[in-house]
Amino acid sequence: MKKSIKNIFVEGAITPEKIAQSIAAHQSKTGIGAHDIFLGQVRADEIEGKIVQAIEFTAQIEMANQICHDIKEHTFERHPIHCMHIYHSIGKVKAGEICIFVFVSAAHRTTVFNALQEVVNEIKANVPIFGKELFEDETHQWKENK
Amino acid sequence: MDVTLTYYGKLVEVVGKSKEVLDVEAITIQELVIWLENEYPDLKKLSLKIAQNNTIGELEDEITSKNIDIFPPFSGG
Repeated sequence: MKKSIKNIFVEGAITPEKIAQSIAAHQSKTGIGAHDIFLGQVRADEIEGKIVQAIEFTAQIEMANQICHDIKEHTFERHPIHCMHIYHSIGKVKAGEICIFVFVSAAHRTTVFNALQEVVNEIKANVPIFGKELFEDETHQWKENK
Repeated sequence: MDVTLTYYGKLVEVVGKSKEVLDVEAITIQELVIWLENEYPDLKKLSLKIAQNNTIGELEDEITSKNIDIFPPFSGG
């Protein structure tokens, strides 16, 4: 069965409540023995004396969802994972808030450690999302991934 | 064929618009990049990615879609 393409985007910050609910939703899946989670948080970087207050994310949403769907399919082919979820913010996320949440579950820890690292790296490299770092004085600069 | 170019992220500021329509016949992605860099010299400093049908194209690919996305480097996460 071909899985439908899910929308990864969440308006604004990803809340700790959403993350807790997502963990709770897996309690019925008792074949799972290990979860691994990546949470990306907006840093208040100082750039030329100005502090980043927030990041505003934009994206080519349809393509981003398609690519995340493909990343999921490849990950299921390569690793014996039970499930996997990707969420990314769209719009403004303040410093200290969460802007990406990737959740991988499997029977054993080594599977999730390996899969999660691959998935996060693929998202950073291949998904058309753009971050604009906003400063207090209403100027901005465009984020660059390291 | 009229092709709509859509610019993303930083490119909207560099070119000063988010979309434009270009009338092209049988051109490749590489030829489009040359046109873009000629029209907007500041784009030469950026590593552009061009997509059609939600897929990043290779330079030698011919443009067949009426909607082309033009991306600066990605910076999600």
